[in-house]
Amino acid sequence: MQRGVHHGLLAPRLELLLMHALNRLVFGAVTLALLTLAASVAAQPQAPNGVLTLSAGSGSAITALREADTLVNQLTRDGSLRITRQDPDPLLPGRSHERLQQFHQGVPVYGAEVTRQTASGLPISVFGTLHVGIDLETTPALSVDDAARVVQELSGRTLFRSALPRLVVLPDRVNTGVYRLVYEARTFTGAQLMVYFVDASTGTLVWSYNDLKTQQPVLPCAQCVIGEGLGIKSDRKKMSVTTVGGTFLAHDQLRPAEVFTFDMRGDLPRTELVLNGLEPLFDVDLSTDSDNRWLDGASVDAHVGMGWTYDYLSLRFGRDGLNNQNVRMLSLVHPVNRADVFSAPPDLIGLYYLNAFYCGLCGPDGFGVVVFGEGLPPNILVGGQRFNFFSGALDIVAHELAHAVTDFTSALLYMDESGALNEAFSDVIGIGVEFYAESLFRDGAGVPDYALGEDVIEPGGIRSLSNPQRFGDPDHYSLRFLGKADNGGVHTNSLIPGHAFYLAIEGGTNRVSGLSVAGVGAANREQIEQVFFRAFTVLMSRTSDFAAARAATIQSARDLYGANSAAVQAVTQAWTAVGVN
Amino acid sequence: MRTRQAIFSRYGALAPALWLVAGFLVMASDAPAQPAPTDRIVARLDSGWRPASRTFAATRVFTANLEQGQFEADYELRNGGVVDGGISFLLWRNLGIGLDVSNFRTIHEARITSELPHPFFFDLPRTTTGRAGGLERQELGIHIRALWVSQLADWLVISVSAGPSIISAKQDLVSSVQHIEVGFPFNEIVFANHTVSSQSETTTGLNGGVDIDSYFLHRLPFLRNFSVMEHIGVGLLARYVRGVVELQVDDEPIEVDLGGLQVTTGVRFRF
Repeated sequence: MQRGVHHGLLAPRLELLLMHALNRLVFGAVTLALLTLAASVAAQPQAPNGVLTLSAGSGSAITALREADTLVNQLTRDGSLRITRQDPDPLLPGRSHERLQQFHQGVPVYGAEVTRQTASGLPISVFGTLHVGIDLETTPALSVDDAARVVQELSGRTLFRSALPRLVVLPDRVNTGVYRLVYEARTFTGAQLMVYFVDASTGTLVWSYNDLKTQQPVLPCAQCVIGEGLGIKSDRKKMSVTTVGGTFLAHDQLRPAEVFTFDMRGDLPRTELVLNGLEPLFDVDLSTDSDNRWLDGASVDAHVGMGWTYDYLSLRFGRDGLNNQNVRMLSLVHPVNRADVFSAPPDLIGLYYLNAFYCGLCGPDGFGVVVFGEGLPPNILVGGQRFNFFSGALDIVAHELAHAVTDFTSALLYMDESGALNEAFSDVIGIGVEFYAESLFRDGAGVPDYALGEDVIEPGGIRSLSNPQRFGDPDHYSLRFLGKADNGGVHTNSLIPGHAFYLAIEGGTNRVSGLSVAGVGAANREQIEQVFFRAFTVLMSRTSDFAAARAATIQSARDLYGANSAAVQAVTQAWTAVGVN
Repeated sequence: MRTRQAIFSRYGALAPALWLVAGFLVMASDAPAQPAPTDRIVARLDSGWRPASRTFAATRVFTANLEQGQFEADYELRNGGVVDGGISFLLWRNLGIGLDVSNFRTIHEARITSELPHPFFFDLPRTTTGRAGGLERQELGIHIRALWVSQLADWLVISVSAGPSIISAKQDLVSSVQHIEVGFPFNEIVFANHTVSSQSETTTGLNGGVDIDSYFLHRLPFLRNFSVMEHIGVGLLARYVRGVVELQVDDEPIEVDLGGLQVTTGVRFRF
């Protein structure tokens, strides 16, 4: 990787500001830390090789918080930070949240974001990552069209109209302090949602990763009517559907966000075209029923599960759907035929049969699509487990939709620790919805627990937040996966924060550390759900790591329940127990 | 639910009335010192009030959002006006028989409590309340009376009566209710409207009462010269009527109590 060119003609104003502020921050924080011996969430302004981590909350020294706030204000006035989102706090009156993106000479710096929480204009917390001392010319040699051609050659696919390459400053993932001007572009290849970073000078591929949020690693109004459906477990469910010309369609118009369930009828080529935005979807593609007594369990569970997930987000957190603006929710069922599994290539089996995934930019309108795998014929076992229609598990439905929430909020980078946090948040939401819906299920279905996917991958499911070791996943930071597979083990390391979530609720002793956690108790699970939701959607930024997640969740618990609350104690102990400090 | 047959077995045989008449006969024969009226025929024309309120309730079920919903209507009958008239004949000693006709009418309300199934979930009904106004109740009663009449003075006659009644009742019943969904998350509904079905039925019942008549008008100085005034008086009648009728709304029976205490005053004519 090429180091950013230092021109040396003048010290950019941003660098001067940052270095000045950094010195004050470090000095101020260290001095205060020594004076007050402040524990818990201390302000941690660190800038190893020019990367400044802001982690100042109400548990920090007040001076450190003010310094961080002043820095953000200075950089905002300077134009180096730009507000990309500003929302009132849905839970705490008078609070508001800003999300700010760092720019270098008008070009966004990839992953450099700050979140700031304020109350009546006064700062409450500042979290994020900034890059100090970027010295890089931002005039590209390649045009956007040139970059698009490179990406199309790399992927073999036409780029989404809404996802043409954009210029970004990319921090080197290995050599801190090294930056590169690149084009970022996304495309869905049929099996992966690839994000490419192409050098804006040479057109070479600098970095790429798969941003497809899968359930598990790929390897393994007048027209509104209520219908009755039977889920895959023959459990009765009410369905909000639409009637058109005497036929009933899986289109829910009763919720503020419309919910669509499309039946691809095993047509994989068409499924791929739809995901790529190259072919529209019509009413005839919707799951349909002639007498409004729905018997296709995959369609029923997908449609109802999305609706219940919307309800959970709305009623528990006051969030208006996936993007907080009631964007439509869209899923595809039956992307393949079960009977075709015997002739399907492994990558398709891993994605369309044994998985479910959320594709963020997919769909005819580019607002994201969830695809639910078809499972396997009942007589086929993999690893001793049966695989049913993936939409049949409410926690899986909610898990995938939670990826959309993440995309519209913290946009946690789907790689390494931030990617594991991305997955962990989806698991948390999946578990949360399952408990929320406990009383909504009928006929013995939907028993809530801390396992993921147990309703369709039988026996046992695929992950366990209560006992990660059951599936070979780490239950302590010291056991984290350090390889490159699965985007750095996003589906493996996610169990570390996931287990912390479990311990914070239920309490218990971590197997590795031997440390005990006094959880808030099952009756108060909503507290921990609120804490995690707030931290992951408004306090954390794109490149947050586990340590940042710890700080953010503790801050969130303080915000919601007070510094001495049981929730703060539980969250703090839980992170410590799983080795994240 | 009580059937029509059961109701008739309770009231229809008129056995109590017959027993009452028999009792009067015995008392009349044995009464040594009760002064009998000198006039044998008395006609009445009264108007008055039914002071006591009474209620009845009806529950109806319906299907909505794939489940059974229901609403209960608590009918709150108000006081109402009564027009009452009749004639009685003295048969033997203090014993007489009479035939009265009364008409009662009131406009009242019903309090509606609805349970409406949720559109998204089973077994999570929403409840709401509302009021249905403008409901009419009318009772036309024919009361056969056995009387025990006692003339305490020339100007004061008291009679005690009892007997069977035939009551023709007309009642407005709430046959359906309409609600407005407030919207997501559909936890609330608002009572919006109702439809009314007017039902009529005739049944039998019982009546009993006390009539106090005073013929003092001819003693008033300015009426003294009018001999007809000896035949005209005023009276106060307190009567209790009891009946039960079974009305139908869409083939669902609703048991409705009829009658009640009524107090009327008016003129009396004796011959």
